[in-house]
Amino acid sequence: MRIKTIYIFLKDGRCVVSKSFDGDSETSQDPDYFCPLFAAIDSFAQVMTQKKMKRVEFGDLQVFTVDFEDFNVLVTAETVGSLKEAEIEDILETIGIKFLERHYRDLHDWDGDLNCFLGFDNFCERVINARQGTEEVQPTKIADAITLIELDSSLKKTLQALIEIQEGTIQEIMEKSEIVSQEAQAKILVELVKKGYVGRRREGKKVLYYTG
Amino acid sequence: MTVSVAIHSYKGGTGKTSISLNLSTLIAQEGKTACLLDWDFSGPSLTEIFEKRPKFYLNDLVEGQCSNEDVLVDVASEIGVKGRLLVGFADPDTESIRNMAKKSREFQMKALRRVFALKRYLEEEDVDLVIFDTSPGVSYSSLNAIIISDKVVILMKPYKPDFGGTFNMLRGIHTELDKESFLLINKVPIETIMSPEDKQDFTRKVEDYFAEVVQVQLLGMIPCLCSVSQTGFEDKPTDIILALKKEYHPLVAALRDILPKLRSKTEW
Repeated sequence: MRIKTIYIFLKDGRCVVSKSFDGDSETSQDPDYFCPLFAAIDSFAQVMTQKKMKRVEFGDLQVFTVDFEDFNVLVTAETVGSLKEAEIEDILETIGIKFLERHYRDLHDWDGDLNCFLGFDNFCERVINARQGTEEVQPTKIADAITLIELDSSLKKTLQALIEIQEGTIQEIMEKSEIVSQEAQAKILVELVKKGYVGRRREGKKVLYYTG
Repeated sequence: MTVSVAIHSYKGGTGKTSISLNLSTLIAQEGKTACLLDWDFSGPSLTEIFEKRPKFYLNDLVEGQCSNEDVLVDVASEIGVKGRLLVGFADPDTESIRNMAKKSREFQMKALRRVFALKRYLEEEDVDLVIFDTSPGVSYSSLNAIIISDKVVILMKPYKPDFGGTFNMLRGIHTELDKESFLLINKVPIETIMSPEDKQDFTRKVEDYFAEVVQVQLLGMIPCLCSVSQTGFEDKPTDIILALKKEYHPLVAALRDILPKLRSKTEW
């Protein structure tokens, strides 16, 4: 799975932090509509089942939430991507605990001023990008002819494609590497980044991969 | 569509330059555009054959000191072919040769990118065939040429050390790079392939020897012909391009025979 958006909202539905990871803003939900709606669904579910809601599925869109005393952390995720359900739950816990540590006092005497939560969306972005594989990384190793000969055969075509185009998005690399599945291409790129032959950077909403 | 072919060998003296010159000339004679690149930076040849000292060499291109178009010279009118024959020269100056030999891996990484950019430029220019006349053995420049080429022709002489070395190189380099590779045996003693039975027998032996290297296909055999050898004192150095003046010469005929095999998957 891949996280599209994250929201932190209070029990009354007011959104205090939101961040979209979806390049297509058309499909991102407006937090002022989405959070109150979800707060209502959450309290309805708790009344009906006497349990806290953890996961809801709407077609290809999945919603995961973790309930804290004063607020909920919620992410929407699409089925395409490498994250597993347990990893998403771990991300929610990490972000929720950090939010509690930073803003425990703000929450208790909150006067409605969102400025006190400014910057927390950046923390969410760092946590999610690190897990989702989009944090900025510089290549540490040389990617040349010798590298291509010695590299594991499953990684060669992608590295060669990247040397050829120098820099590109997953889709642009796929056109050259002839790897047909976006998920398989993403996994190979993650492996090449881990091995140090490939770097990764962001440009606007695009994630670009490159060699040194 | 542009097809790029690296002409490579394990040992020197296998006839790479002669084959490269004649193949590219045959294509240009058909009215198409060929590009011949002297990719042997340790022993350049084409400056002597075409008697050229261009302003920019391929050395300058891989150093990032000139553009792709700066480095190509069209020699078609000089040699009298109806198509285009673009030639990129390697610098024969000893200092340049020494300089290329000292290059680091970081340089070679950038050089590989620049060769990819050259390939893109040649595709945009609608060049039909690009030939890299590489240096023998395993050098950075020849590896870079092999990596960017669509096909690799490996030349060898029927000589025991060449069999063993070529086999190891095919297994260790060409197979690892997953290249469509063709084996062309040059300078085969004429009596070895004189009769169809002899030729068939020799072919079977070669194919058996290289059976383990699945990617390689036997492209053909060229007989050993004294008339291919030169004195070095021809009236014009380009006279050594047999395709120009001796179109029925056995070498030219052999190259015409192998062209369909090289063209098998892609139309030039």
